[in-house]
Amino acid sequence: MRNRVEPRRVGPGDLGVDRELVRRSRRGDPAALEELVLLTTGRAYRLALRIVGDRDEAEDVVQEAYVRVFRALPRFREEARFETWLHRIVVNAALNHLRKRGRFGEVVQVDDLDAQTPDRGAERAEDRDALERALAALPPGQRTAVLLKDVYDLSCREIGEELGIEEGAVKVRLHRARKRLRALLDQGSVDEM
Amino acid sequence: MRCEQARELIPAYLDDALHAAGALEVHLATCADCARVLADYRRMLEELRALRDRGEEPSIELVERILALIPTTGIGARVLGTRVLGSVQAHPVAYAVAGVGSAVVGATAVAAMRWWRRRVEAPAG
Repeated sequence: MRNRVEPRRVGPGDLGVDRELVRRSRRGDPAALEELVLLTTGRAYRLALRIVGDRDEAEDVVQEAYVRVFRALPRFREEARFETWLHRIVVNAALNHLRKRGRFGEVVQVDDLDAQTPDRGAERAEDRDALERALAALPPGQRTAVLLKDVYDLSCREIGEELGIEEGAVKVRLHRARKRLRALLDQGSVDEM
Repeated sequence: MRCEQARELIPAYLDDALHAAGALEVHLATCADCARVLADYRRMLEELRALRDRGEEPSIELVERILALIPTTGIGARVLGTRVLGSVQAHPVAYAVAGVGSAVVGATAVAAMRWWRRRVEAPAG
């Protein structure tokens, strides 16, 4: 009988997934795997939710991602960072989910503000702070670049591979997105005065 | 360098992705306004990074479903299998030589045993 199901609340930075925990998990130690799940599901779920924008769909994506994690764990290189590896699997599962539903185009649209797809989490905008609101106001292609690079720490190369675009194109989106985000935040702080 | 140019370059400078950062750094050292803009960007990046721990928690049901997916057996065996396969792929010549060598030694041993049996079983005289 399992009695610990609460995902751990942790501070910013590393989740505490150290090499020893990953090594024990790779050996199939159920206690280590349970610990790994409890430490990582919070960030994995929020990442999926920010990409697909729907709680039920995000849960499906995260579940699919962990199925892949358990299957691929023997091939995981211990010198790599587990969390980055996990996040990439979640991103891949989330983008596949959007592809199946014909919504992949949403996350790769760039700059066309008139054709902008609203952030599907926008109904929760009242719960958000200025940064989340500014992020939600970005064109989807730029939002995705900032989300994956600046929030979840994927490299521009990894983002390009997942989105099917060149690394250079990711950098251009990212730099434009940061400028627009900064402008939106400056505008917001002026509006609040 | 003018301030407009500096502000165009700052978003790329944050990733050390700028090949010619020298001129920008000279400007930043002498322009308090642009240095403040850079500091604002850096603070924004810190706040963005903190978003991964802000927001909704997954439901208890989801965490339980994932815990139930934990394989009770098999991962350790697959790790061993992956290691063996990886080792063979990394050193194919060594494994081929070892394989041929083992076959030769085995065949020689079998031949020697047969020869010895024939000799022992041969009628005296």
